Amino acid sequence: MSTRPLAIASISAERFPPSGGFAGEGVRRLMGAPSLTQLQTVVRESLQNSCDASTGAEPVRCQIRLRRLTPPQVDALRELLAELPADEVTRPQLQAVLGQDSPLVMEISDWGTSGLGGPTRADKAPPSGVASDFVNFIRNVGAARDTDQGGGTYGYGKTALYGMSACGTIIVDTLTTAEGAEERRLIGCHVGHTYDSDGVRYTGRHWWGQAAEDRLVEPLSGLDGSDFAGQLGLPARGVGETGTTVAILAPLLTHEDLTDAIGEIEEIILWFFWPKMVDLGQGASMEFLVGLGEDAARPVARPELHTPLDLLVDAFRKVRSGSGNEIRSKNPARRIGMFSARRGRRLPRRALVPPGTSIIPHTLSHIAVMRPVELVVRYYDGTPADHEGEEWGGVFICDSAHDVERAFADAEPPAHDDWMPENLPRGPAKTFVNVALRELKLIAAAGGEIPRAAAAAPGDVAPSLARVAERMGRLIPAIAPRPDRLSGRDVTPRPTAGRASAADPIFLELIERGDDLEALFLVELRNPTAQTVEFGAEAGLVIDGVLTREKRAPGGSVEVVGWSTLEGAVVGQGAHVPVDAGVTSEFRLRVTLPPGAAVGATIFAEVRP
Amino acid sequence: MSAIAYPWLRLNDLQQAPWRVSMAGGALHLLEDTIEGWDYAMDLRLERALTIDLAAAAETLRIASDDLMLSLVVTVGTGGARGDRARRVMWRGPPPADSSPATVAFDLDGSWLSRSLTLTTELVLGKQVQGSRLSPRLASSRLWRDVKSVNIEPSTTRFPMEATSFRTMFPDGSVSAPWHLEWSAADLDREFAAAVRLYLNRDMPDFVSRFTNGDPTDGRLVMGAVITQLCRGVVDSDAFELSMAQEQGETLGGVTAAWLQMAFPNHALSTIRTIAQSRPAAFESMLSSLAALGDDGE
Repeated sequence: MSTRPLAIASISAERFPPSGGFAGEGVRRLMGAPSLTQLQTVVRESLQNSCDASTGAEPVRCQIRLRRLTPPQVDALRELLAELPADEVTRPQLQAVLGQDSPLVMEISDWGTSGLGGPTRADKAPPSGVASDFVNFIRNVGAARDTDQGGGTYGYGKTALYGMSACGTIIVDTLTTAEGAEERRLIGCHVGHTYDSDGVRYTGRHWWGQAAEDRLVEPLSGLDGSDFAGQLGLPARGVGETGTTVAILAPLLTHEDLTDAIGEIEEIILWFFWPKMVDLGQGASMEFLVGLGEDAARPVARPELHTPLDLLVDAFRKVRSGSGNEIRSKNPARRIGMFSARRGRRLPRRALVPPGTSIIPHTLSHIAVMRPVELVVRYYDGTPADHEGEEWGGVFICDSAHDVERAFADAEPPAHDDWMPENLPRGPAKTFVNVALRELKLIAAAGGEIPRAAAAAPGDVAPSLARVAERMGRLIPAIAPRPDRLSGRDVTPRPTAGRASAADPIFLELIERGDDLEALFLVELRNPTAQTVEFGAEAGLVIDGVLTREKRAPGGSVEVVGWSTLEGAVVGQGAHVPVDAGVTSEFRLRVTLPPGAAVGATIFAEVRP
Repeated sequence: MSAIAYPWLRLNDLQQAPWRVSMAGGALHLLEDTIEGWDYAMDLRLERALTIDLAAAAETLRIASDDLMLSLVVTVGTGGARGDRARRVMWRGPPPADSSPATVAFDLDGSWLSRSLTLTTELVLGKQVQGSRLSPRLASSRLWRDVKSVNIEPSTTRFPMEATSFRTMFPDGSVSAPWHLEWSAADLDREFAAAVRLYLNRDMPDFVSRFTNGDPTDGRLVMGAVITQLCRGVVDSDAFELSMAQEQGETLGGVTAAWLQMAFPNHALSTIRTIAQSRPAAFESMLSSLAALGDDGE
């Protein structure tokens, strides 16, 4: 990697045009007062942008990383931001961050997206057929990406990125296609406060990059851009790996512990983007990774495996299969969307954040609502299940008919976190949203049950379309399996040959020992290695059919008594038994049984030092 | 064999027939590890037989034959990749007193199911009893257990379709149409399954029945028309390119491009456009003949 000095970095401060413009303070307030936290807004807005920027050639891959800059990376940052804004409010904030030994950055990166293409100046018209993504993201305020049925980039969402930074500053690094060739673009952006200098009024918006002929800086491009991205430690991008990285300087996080902070980010991704991770036969449409430091990021948990999202996934699958319940309006007589709910036992949760801080409810009784783009807009709380050991989750997707979808999109505020029919003029669009919300609130209040009047009449059973849909599905050309592109994902099963291992214990019989009872298990121990291996057994109570690590029960406890050969010769007292090199043999394992309790055991191998 | 040691004597080997399943009222057949062709509208009937020799069981459990009362319980679990999300006891009853085979049979509502089935068959003590020190005593003590797991999630690509009443769905237009294709040429970049939906008119039950039961003529006619409509719709779009078949295979553009390449191999898009305009009959017949690819056995 080149580390040549960046002698060309420059800053440009935006002057108010004579006709007026956006003040920096105003830009930060454009999102209004969303119901979401700052971090939730940033994650949602950023990943929605990634979704809308999909090239369609492959699933969009998004990665969020928290890392502290190394000393060389801090030097590179100070080089880029050498000249600071004259704004007296945010200038000290920037100085404070740049003065840190290892400032924190939050990186949001995507691949499989188009990058920020088009002109680099807002006063330049794009060529025919070319989107102005760069200027709309970097320069303009309120200009939306033109994506039909997209997630809904109002053009305001990006302002949350600046609010997330303690110094109102982000670094944007993108690989895009310009005039048929790939182009790297890197630029620093800052939204501060309005100020006056030498009789000139400034908006507080600044950019750092390549000095241009006039006062506006251009992004560092080509080798300068890619070299500098490398010096800052931003994710590398090879040929064809178009996409964008936004690095938020000094992110304002709720959790001081970065492990908890990245856990919160993973929860936000799961809670709002789980539909994008569901494989409906052609693979998930988006892939998400999170990571701490510069090590390989880890894939976000699959929603099917992360309770209670599995209930929502099941409801989502039912809606997408066309088997959900229709929500309809009478005047105009239209289908507004489809709903389904699933109910089940409340299963244990996997904690990603400290107790009491999770956004995922302890007991699910919620309806997730979304447009066909399948990004969760919000959840409606409902009445919990009657039985406290149960929970339920529902999904509503508005219809994809253009006027219906448009009605719900127009009802969303800038943060896209609600449907607000009061934002719509009187007419069918307002009716669609009003009726949907009325019905969904009734269903939520009824604990996820469809009110009888709205449910299908008895005997009105939809025909099964599975077989014909599968037959017709053969007409959809097969998609070649995608190579696994997730960095750090280990998809190769670990070889077990050559390693010590044990078969699961098999219960043989009960043995009476005076007043006590013992259980005898058969265990095959395998040691193909060239050294003696010590095997151990851990016994525990079986509760509700599941082996636990619990040992104490009323009247006694579970203990491993010892090991013997099939012939009865004792070879180990207590939990451990040595097995010589190259030996594979069956042994008997004795375990005590407390009165009235069921027990089981697990076996592990330890190589002797 | 079990990995669990219970603190009482249990029964090891019961004579059990495998589970059999019938879908939507069809014939019973052996239940494999996967049920192909299931959807939420399809109810299942499950059946199996077990033979319990009561005298032998009493001897094994060291309980007097006259005191032994057993109960056969079948629990069905469904949903959840980390354990059943929902469970219902679907069958409970004593095995025949003459030790003849007990037949367990019940129906499962398709709309209740999702993802997987776990069929747990258990033999439990029917009432409290006194026996030897190792004998089970308390009612509901588990004496034997068998678990069968079945995947019901579709493993193949399904064409996005649903049956609905056109009188309520499309009251202003195609009330009498047997089918309607919902899509837009502006959605070339969207995933095919999300961009396209084939609606079947439930107000025409004869047609829906023939179509869903695999009538080959109806199937080819509908799918031929679907392929033709989609291809004709995208081929004139400025944003459409044949290379989308390779570059965006999962999208509406990718799928339609692949169909056009199959129907007109080695033809440039400009040539295909010319054929569509100057020889519409040839254009449509070449495309609609692709519908045969969906037939069974091809």
